[in-house]
Amino acid sequence: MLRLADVRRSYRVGPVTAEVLRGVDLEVGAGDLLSIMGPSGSGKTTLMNIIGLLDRPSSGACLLDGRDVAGLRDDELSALRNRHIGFVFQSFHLLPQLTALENVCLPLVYRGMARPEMRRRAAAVLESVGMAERTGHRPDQLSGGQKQRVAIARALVGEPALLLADEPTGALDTDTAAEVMGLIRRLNAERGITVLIITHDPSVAGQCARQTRIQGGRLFEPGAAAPSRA
Amino acid sequence: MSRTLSVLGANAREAAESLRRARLRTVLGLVGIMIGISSVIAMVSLGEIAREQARKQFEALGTDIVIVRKGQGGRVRAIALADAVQLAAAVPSITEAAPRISGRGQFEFAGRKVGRGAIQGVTRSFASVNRLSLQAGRFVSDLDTDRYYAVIGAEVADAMRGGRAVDSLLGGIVEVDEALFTVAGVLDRKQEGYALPVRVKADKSVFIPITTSQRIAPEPGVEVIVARSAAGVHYETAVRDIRSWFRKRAPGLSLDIVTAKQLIAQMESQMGIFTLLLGAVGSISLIVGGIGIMNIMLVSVAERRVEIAIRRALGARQRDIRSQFLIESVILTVTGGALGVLLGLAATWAICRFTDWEFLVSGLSVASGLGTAAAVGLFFGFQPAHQASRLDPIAGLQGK
Repeated sequence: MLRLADVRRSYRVGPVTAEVLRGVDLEVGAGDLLSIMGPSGSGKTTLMNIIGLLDRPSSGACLLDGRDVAGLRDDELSALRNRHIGFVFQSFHLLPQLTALENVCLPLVYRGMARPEMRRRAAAVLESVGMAERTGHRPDQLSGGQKQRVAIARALVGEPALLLADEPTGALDTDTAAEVMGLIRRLNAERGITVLIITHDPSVAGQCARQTRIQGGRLFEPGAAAPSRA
Repeated sequence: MSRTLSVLGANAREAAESLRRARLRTVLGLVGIMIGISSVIAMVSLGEIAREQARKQFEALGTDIVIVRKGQGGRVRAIALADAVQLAAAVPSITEAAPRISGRGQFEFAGRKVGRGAIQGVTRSFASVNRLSLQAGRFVSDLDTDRYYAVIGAEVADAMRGGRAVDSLLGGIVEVDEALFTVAGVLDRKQEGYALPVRVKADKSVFIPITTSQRIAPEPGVEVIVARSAAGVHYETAVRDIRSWFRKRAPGLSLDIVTAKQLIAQMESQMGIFTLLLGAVGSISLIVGGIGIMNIMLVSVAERRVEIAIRRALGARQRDIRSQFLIESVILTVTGGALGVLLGLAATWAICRFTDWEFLVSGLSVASGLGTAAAVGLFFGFQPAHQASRLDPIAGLQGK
């Protein structure tokens, strides 16, 4: 469903050109649970931005469902993000002025869905992540684990093909991190959602069926010949 | 299309919510808009009220009215009474002419002082030209030449009768500056019109035959003639005819003639100056207010870069972000505008009380006030909204 072929990304910083990604090849199949691990500065955030259609490669191809996204206009990329990708961030990135339910509604707002339908779906997804009791709470009334559950619900509400999680447990304590990872794995196992987790934490990476490492702008997959399904 | 509408709807709901939680900065930003809009409102509604007021007064008096006075200079010192009285009969473009000689004096009745006011020497046509009506008795008649009959204004009459019936005053003797007059009639109350440069002040006056007035007062001539031009006659024709008739009768007499039409034009040009002034105040404060709004929105965009990035990641298009901030700035200015409308109407009401004009709320002024506010919001909100839509979501998500 997602294929990167020789993706390179460089930035000009003054007179110098810094190459952050130096030819990344990656193939993600439907239903994969994949981790990308690497130290900071390894290019993993840049890779995530490219996969998440927030950034474009300097060269190389990025194909989503067999379609090259290189030539798409900004509006088309927005629509693709809205339908195909669910983001989960380290610092949750919930909007503080909105309730849990309203936060979860956001992707559907930009899909132009009618309000009652939108709220019905958002409530159902919140229930499925165990947050049915907290739909009217604002983020500052929720614990870290609860915020990340709401963020996961927001990522899932549009029924995307790919859940893209950037350090999803990075701001959580050990117990809560385990809970959130359990939820992500359950969603992958029960619903067959493709999950791509970017992390620097080996224990998080260890819970993924496919594990890759990024270093110096290149991606390595130990034992790449192994079957990729969880 | 339906996507656009539901995104706009969601944006509007959120904008209203964020305004409800507004900070002091936002409230202060509204003050400029409020003052600007209130001047727009005051400008438009005062203009309309003044026009309406003038229209009513001229409707009551008639736009065919012509006022003749002695002008500055000239060899002849005054308009002769005989000429004034004959004017209507001699000039065909004039249907009625009411000359007046007026002075001030003290009124006494039954040994009591009942007030001071104008003593107006008039002819029969003065009542019809000025639309005066009677509650009892009759007005000055053409047969009253040199006789001591008086017609009493409503307020003077009230002071005289002290609770007794109006009819009881008829035939009574009123002393006007030591001359004794028999009361022949009592006038109805009459609201003073300000459209004409002639004050009638009927309620506080005593009207006597003009010939009698010339006998008791040292005034040599007629102070003013209030005339009406004939139906279908252009006012300039009437003015020319009056001048040429007086040239024959009193060569060297300089005349100052004003018509209702000229007065209307004069008043409109005065209103124009007034409107221009309020318009200038209004536009300056709207520009200042608009810049304030722009500043608020720029700060808001800078503070909400992370929010904008999150929305973009979740699928908001650039134009969704732009419309979100535009709607916010429009809601902001329209709220300020609504407060400005209230303030402007209050100011208009106060001015109306002060000037005795009739207050009315004009739909046009409210609509133009809110419309201007919305336009200011769109204009000054565009740059911040555009800036918000062009923010790089990657930088925003990293909190940079």
